[in-house]
Amino acid sequence: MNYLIHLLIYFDIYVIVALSLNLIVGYCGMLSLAHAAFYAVGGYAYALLALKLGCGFLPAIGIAAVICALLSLAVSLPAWRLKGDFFVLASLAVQALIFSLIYNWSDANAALGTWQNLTNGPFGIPGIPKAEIAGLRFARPTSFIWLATALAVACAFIVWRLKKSPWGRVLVSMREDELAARSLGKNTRLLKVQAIAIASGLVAFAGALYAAHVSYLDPSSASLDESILMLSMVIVGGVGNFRGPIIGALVLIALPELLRFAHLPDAIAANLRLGIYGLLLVLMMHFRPQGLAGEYRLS
Amino acid sequence: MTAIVEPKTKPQADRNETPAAAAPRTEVERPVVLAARGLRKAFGGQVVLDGVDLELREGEVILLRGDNGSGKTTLINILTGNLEPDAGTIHYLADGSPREFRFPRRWWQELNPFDHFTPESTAREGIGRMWQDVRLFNSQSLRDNIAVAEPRHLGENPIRAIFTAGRCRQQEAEIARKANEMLARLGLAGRETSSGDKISLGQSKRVAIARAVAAGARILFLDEPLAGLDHQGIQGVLSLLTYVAGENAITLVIVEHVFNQLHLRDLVTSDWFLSNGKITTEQLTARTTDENLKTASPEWLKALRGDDTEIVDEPLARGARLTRLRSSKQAHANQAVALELRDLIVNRGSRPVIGFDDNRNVSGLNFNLMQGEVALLQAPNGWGKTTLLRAIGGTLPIHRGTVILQGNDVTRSLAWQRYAAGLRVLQARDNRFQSLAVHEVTSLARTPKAAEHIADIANKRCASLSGGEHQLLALVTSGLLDPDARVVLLDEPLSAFDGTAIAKAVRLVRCAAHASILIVLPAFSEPRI
Repeated sequence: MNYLIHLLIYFDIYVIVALSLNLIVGYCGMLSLAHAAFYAVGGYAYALLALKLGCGFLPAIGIAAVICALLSLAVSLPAWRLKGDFFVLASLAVQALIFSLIYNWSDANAALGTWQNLTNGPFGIPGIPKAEIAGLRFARPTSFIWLATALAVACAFIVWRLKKSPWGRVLVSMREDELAARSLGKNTRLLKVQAIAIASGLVAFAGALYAAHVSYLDPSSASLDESILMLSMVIVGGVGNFRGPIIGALVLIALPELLRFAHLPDAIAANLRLGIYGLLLVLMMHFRPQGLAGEYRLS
Repeated sequence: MTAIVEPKTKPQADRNETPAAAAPRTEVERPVVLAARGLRKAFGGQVVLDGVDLELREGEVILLRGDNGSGKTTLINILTGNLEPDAGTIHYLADGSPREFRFPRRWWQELNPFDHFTPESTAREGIGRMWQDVRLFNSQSLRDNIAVAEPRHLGENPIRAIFTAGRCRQQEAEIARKANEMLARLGLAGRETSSGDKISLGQSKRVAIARAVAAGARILFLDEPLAGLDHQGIQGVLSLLTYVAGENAITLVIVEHVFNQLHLRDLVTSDWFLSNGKITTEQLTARTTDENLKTASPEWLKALRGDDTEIVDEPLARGARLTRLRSSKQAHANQAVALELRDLIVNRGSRPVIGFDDNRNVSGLNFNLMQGEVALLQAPNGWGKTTLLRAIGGTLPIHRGTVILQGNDVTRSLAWQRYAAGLRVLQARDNRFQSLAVHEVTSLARTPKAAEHIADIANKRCASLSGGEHQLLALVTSGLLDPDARVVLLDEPLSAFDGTAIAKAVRLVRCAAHASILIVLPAFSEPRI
């Protein structure tokens, strides 16, 4: 039962990740490889605020979201001029930069959380406090699942409301024909900044949830592999609508769990998982570019 | 949202109203809505606009003419914020508060994010644009296509969309109601939830015009609004433009193909001719349009095969017509068949597009092209002209029937095999290699004789060619100059051609005396060919 609850917690976390990334990929039509970086920054921000300043869960994730939204300018400003492959490269550069900062911002002679040793480098941050709201501590998985689900539902509601709104409509117009949208007076630069900021803020919630659940965070959560996993969820599930990313998160969470029952040796299981993600992406792009439940084809 | 408000009944004339009070504003009384002075633009040393001065007045309808490469599109791109001129000033006066842009812009002006010269900033000054390829948002409904144009929509702020959804919903309901009314006036009642790609070309052009008006355009630039339309489509667009210019007092600037300029004669108030980087204006008269249309007259058709050409019309199903041009010698000789279609049926999905008749019976299309013959295929929009050429060319599967090329059945052959057998096809769209230079394209197409036809553009990059120059390059590399070509199919080869460019096209076709040529024309146009 605990195993199932853990699975559901991860599902909640990655639903937030996939829905937020869909705002960039599905609604703006921009492939971003930097999403894991903001996920990790959200987790690290929560960890440091909770550990060093004793912040409660809700204020901490709020601040983490604001930090990530501001940091997202590193991706959204290049998006003003860069399109297609060039935007992907720019997002990859941001991802590499943030990963590098997290990995290297450490000093063995300084305490964790100081300016000399903000992230503790490759050793990560252990002992991250469990989530606590109004005296209620979500220490056990059986209680944490409620928090994770509530946050996932809240994020899903925000994304759904945005999708249905005139803002969502103008995003889709921009995706389809940016010049035509601009000729109707729509400020597409501002739209990109808004979409990427909102997506980055939402994924910060997911990062904080993960940090609070596992109580440990290291730079691997900001790696390119994580970004590819996130992108795979969106592409496999389908872009441009609400259900696609949710289905993608379900498939990509379930897949490695199914491999457990194949009794593969631990040494190759992780690598095989990556290989399977890659193969899934190639197959989806070839046979079903709109994804399992998507609305439009990435081109 | 600015609505296209059409009165249900014409207002009764007031018997006490004096004629003077009812008189329309004169040219001088109409306020100036846009003024430009000294506009200059050069591309790589070639001057396209050389000190252009212009003024647009409220409610005017301008026909912007000029030869291919004269700078019409460059001028429109500048006035709509898509391109910065090298020098000059533009005053936008349509929206209550005047706004001026001076060029070249200083470096500190680029730092101000609220003072950029962009399509969206000119749109906020009342500038609207309709492109030749329409550019509706095809994944959205027609209602959403118009509703998205609404300026200053509360719901387009994401914070408001999340936290004040109720107020946004109220505004959205009002906008949706107005959009539905607008669509009803365009004859699209009941189609509000159809997507932009499910309506005809004429309907989509009317929706695009309505969308620009809904965005608050006071000056609308239209790039070939009548291109590709049949008679009914042309009348629909003209009716809307007449209403928009008359009742909404929106200024129109129209660039139109020489074949369709005649339709605009009653609407246009001024004729601007762009030549040598400058604009000359004149009031459009019947004489002017007749002169403009000299190259559009049937005379150029006879020039395709010489003075003794016989023109033979053959009706096809669903209002199409095949016009054969034969010299007297060809007409009386025993000609071999170069291309034959037998009982051809082509589907798109499960829907037959080619091969059914006026009663929707699927019977197959039959016609042939004789050796050395030139034929014109004219058909209404939606007939399937492009589908037919693609099926003959081998890039679309054939459901049933046979394609015989030079006596050989090529129905099951791949496109490259048909090419090897002597078939050449020029598409109407997607026939450009933007990143290549012109001489590289002619090299790719292996057309050794191309140089003499495109000497003045040989060293240009394709990305810098005007629409007409692109089309000329496409025609030159279409197979007309290829000695191995036996049958050449040209899909709308004369689009974007004006004036003398048509004469160049005729010369090219005459070079291909060794081949049989089928030319697809967009629609029935006046004068009828």
